[in-house]
Amino acid sequence: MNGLRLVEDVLWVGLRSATPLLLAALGEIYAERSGVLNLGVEGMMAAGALSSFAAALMTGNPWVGVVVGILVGASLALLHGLISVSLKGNQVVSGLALTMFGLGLSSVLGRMYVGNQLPAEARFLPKPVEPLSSIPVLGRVLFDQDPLFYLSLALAMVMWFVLRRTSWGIVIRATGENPAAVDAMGISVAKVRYLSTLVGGALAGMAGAYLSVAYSPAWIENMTAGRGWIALALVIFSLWDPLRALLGSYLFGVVEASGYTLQAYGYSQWLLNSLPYLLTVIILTLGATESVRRRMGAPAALGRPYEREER
Amino acid sequence: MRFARRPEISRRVLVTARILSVLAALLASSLVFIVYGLDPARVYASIFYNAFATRIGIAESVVRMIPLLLVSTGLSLVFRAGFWNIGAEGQLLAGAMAAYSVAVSLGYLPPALLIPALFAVGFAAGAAWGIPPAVLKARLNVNEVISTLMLYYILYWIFQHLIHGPWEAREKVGQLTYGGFAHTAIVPENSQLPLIGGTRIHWPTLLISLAAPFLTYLLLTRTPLGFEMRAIGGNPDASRAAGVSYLRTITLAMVVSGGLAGVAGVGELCGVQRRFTPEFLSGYGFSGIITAWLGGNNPLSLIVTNFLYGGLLVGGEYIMITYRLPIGVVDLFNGTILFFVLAGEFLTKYRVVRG
Repeated sequence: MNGLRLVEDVLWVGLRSATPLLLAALGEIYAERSGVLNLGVEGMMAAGALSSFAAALMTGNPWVGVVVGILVGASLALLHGLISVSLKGNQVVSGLALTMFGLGLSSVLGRMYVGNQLPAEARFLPKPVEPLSSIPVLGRVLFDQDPLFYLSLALAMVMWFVLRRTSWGIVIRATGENPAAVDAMGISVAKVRYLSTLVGGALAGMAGAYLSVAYSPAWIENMTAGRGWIALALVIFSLWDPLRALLGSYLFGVVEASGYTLQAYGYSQWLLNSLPYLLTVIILTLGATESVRRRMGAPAALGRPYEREER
Repeated sequence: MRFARRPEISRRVLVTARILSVLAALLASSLVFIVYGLDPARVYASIFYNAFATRIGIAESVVRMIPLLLVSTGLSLVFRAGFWNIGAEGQLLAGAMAAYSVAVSLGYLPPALLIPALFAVGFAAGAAWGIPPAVLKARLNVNEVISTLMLYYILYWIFQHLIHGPWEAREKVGQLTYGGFAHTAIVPENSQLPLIGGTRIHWPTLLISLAAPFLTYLLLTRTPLGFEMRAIGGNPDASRAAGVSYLRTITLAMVVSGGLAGVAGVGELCGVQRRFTPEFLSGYGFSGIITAWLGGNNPLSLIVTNFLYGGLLVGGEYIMITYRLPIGVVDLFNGTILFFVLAGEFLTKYRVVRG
């Protein structure tokens, strides 16, 4: 019985810690599918976390926090769009700049909040959905979570549907594979890429909001702790597919959470801290191998600015 | 109105654009100081004065320049080969950790023997920590931005484990031995690098750091290997088709890049800090990305760029302490500078045409 309880705990914690990864990965999938590589996820997440924490603290309403986080994430993504779409700059460098900028901003402006705690009504707390939550093990894991958790699940499905089954999805995917063809159809490549990048930023901001308004009870500096980079690895692991991203991030969260239970058995907390990053390298390699095997690579025009041929 | 590519850009225009971009970025960063209720003009004057107008300031700028120059020289090489090594911080740490274990176990050797060995070991360890991402990229097309960064995180936590446990200093007070200091013992005297009198400049590392850009420049422009590196960076598919081994070329580039970062780590440990503390790393591995980019990935222009940037760090540390600003200010500066440089690059590459 005790063992069952442990499994339940690991799964519950694992899915919670997977939620920000899932949100950020979903957004980045859209950006990359349209051909824009945004390595600034970590920075957008950090800025989103701070701004939503501040907004939730001020208004006492976690939903205001989420909306502000989304807006801040999207505005930072706009900066990346400006550099990589309009100015045709180097997307790798711009993404790194965004990471530093966002982390720096959240550290500089977040200083006054260090150690501050959100009151319970300004946070998203897990709430059991009766009677589903009384199902053994899975009941608590799936039906005793916070609203953002359910929202992220729904988003994964909706975003999969849009990308795979609608004409918008076709346009986004085509822009990442063959922008010249999209241009020839009379659709603005820049517009598609801007919008997809904004979706990416909005979801990275929401991932940050999850960290500061649902996951952690207080504001801690450098709260993102590399999660943006892990999300980027999950995008590759998912082969740019929202449902595989759902699977990948839950798998990641559960393995990470089971690693932490080892701490109770006397393993070094420092070495256990390195586990998620080791796991990231492993899933990155698995994803790359799978993509070679299935001949499903990254979008062909990923990271390349689009320039119309001069005639 | 639309933009068209300029046919050719002179070096002078490029350099001027870089300088103007950095100045514009600094101007934009003034906002932070205003938020903190400070007068930006006074803050910048204080940064400049403390970095470049006193003897100590200049010496300290050189102390910061040494690791930056080593890291960014290596990075300029891999960046030219189109390989995005973001994990130089980890390679620097690998070099320092290897040097520490050699210094502790062979501390009885005379400095003339020990110090060259430390640099060699540091180079090897930095290179070793840099090779796996190169092989993974060449063999399985694993994204190197993420793998190099993840290897940094992994080593960082191994490092924390070591200095909180196996490597932790134990100090004897009377009959009792105390632990729990969260730092290591000071490295043996024979492994400590000699300094230029009255400063903290560890000259052996300074010499290596000044030689590195020239050697890298020669490698890049005068050897077949350098030609292959540039070819791979320019057009990987075409150069593969022309028979250039991607695996070999990228791996060798990472050996140089990781190795130089490792040497920087040796200098930081044996020349500056002399022991490991949890705050051993100060972000040179990341700032080196900025300076490599600012210097146009040209090894020769890196000496000036890194000296100026080192000065910015010295002045920045001074104002952070005086005005109690958080450490994140440096990140904010770095990000802003890069954005402005990217925007400036656009304006040099394209011109406005009517119609």
